[in-house]
Amino acid sequence: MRAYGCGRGLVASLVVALTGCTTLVKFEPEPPTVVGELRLTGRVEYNGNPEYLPGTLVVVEPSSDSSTPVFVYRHDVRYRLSSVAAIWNPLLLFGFRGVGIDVTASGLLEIKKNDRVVKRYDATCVVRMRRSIWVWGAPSQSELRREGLLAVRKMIEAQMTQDRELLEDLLVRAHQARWTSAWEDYDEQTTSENGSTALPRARLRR
Amino acid sequence: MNRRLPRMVLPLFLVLGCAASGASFRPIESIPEGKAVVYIYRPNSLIGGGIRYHVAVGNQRIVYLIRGGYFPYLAEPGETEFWARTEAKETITSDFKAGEVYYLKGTVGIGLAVGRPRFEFVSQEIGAEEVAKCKLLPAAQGNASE
Repeated sequence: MRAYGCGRGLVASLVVALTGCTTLVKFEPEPPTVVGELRLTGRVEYNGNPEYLPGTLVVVEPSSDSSTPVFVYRHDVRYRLSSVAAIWNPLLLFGFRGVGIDVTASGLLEIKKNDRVVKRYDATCVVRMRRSIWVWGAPSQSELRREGLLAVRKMIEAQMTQDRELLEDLLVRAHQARWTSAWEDYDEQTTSENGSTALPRARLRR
Repeated sequence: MNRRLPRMVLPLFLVLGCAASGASFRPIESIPEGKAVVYIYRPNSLIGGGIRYHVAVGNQRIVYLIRGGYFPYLAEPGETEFWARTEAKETITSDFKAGEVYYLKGTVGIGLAVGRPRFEFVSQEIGAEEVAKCKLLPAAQGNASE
């Protein structure tokens, strides 16, 4: 009976010790794992790391045409360290995860057309890291920031993919309709002038 | 009793370390064009006071951070990562805009053998108030190795 109790104590100690050797990283909310395909072309106003820009946006050369969609993307990161009072917690010595960092990443995407915001997407993700003092290779704040911003990127991509129909109507079809209309007007004008449409069509094509 | 006193006090000094003793805080009056100012500072706290560490950007050492000290670092706009190491490495990254002022607070967190560096970007209100109590530290020389 005594040996049994000793064995249980040993197992419990091992569990606590092994748990203390791992780092817990939790995303709130969890970012989507699968994001559908959507590509929107336009001018992008963003001067951060391109890795964090939603992959649904395809950058085109700056254009003076006001009908070209403009994507304005901004992100922000806040760090929060766990309380210093944890230093005095004796349970830390036994592998409890009392040391931690919370990184809150947020992103805001505004889609503008004709200098007017037509759609807005935002997402926030909190990455919580907890470790014990026995851990040396825990993710740094920079790594958590990167994970958070990539999660925000995925969340915005997922929101945009859900709005595929709306965005395509709003940006792609409207843009095509405008060009088709301009093309036809130009076509009629040039055909009536010299009977040839080849050169103006080439000029219009972008 | 008198003989024991220095023996008791000496380890205390070793643990607490010395605070910074340079010039009092003076804000940078005009920020150079195309640069951001990051005040790297460490409040004069007794917790982990004996632990000191180099703060580096890439492989360039910026400042040897001790308690009660600060250093104004002129950062390039964009993403910059600061790091430091004692028994473990800690890093922090932020995006900087030219002409802006940032406050990077360094402290010491719990470690197994020695305290580990901890970094935090604090708000203008907190940073300006805390850095005003710090003394200027000299720029660190040489390359930092990870």
